[in-house]
Amino acid sequence: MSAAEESEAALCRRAAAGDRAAFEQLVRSHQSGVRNQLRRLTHGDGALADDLAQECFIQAWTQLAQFNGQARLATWLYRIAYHRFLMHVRRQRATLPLTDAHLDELTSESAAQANQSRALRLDVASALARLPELERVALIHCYHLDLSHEEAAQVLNLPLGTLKSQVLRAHARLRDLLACWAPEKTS
Amino acid sequence: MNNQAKPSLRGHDDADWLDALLRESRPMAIEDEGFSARVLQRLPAPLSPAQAREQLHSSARMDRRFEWFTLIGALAGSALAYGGSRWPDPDELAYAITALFELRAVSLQVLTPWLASLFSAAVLAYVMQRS
Repeated sequence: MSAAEESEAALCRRAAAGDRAAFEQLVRSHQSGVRNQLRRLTHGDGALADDLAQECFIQAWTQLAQFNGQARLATWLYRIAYHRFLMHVRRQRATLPLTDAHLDELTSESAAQANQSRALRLDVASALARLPELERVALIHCYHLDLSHEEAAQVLNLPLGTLKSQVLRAHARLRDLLACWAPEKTS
Repeated sequence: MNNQAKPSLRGHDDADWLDALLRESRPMAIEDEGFSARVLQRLPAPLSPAQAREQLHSSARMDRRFEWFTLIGALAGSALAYGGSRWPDPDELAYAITALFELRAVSLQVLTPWLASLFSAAVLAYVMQRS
């Protein structure tokens, strides 16, 4: 176990015992990942994503004693966040439309950042939006949240084989959708 | 789609360019900007050990109630099925089962008590296994 993981485990133990300061440190470390995950799941609806992220951390606070440390804390939080997202979708019984404003929010960067990077993010975001939902969600968890296939399968509650096949299918579609980004063949 | 030059992807071969592209499009970190403080404000007060125990017991009580409810429901359903239906004689039943396998029309009156028993047994097995 690395020093960082060890200190996170100690923070978890303290937070599970009711230490709010320890929990605040955990929230600070993981808020970006969870909010990014939810922004992508909600097609860039920042306000909704933040509401769900708050609910996710509140649930984590009440259930922290059940976190056994077998998985990474991030994986456990992503799983709670994904569950909250699914509950929201079921409540709304609506698909979340992708609007231009949402796309802008997904790709927003400071003016100093290169156009190249923004264009790439915009293209990838709109290509991802065209994928079937499960393929899109699988890719987001594997690539954007840096989870292994095993961890992503755990978060999404899918068999490992199903997750891998979703990723493969998504790859095949994205090769077409993002063909303009493919390196030029040199003969 | 954007068609401008893609210098950042040069050097990747055909097999991994998409991997590289997806990793490069990874979202940037989101600044906290008061998010953690808002979460902290909404946290419920921590439970005392006695409250935590009570919560645990209450959830166990709910589970037990659910199990008894299912058990009683399954038994009552079986009793109604037995009482309210004419129990078919073995020849009649054998004929109905054969007909079922040969995809011929079957009288539901003959099969219903058996299906009800089968369903109840499955529910009971599930409850027993769960508890």
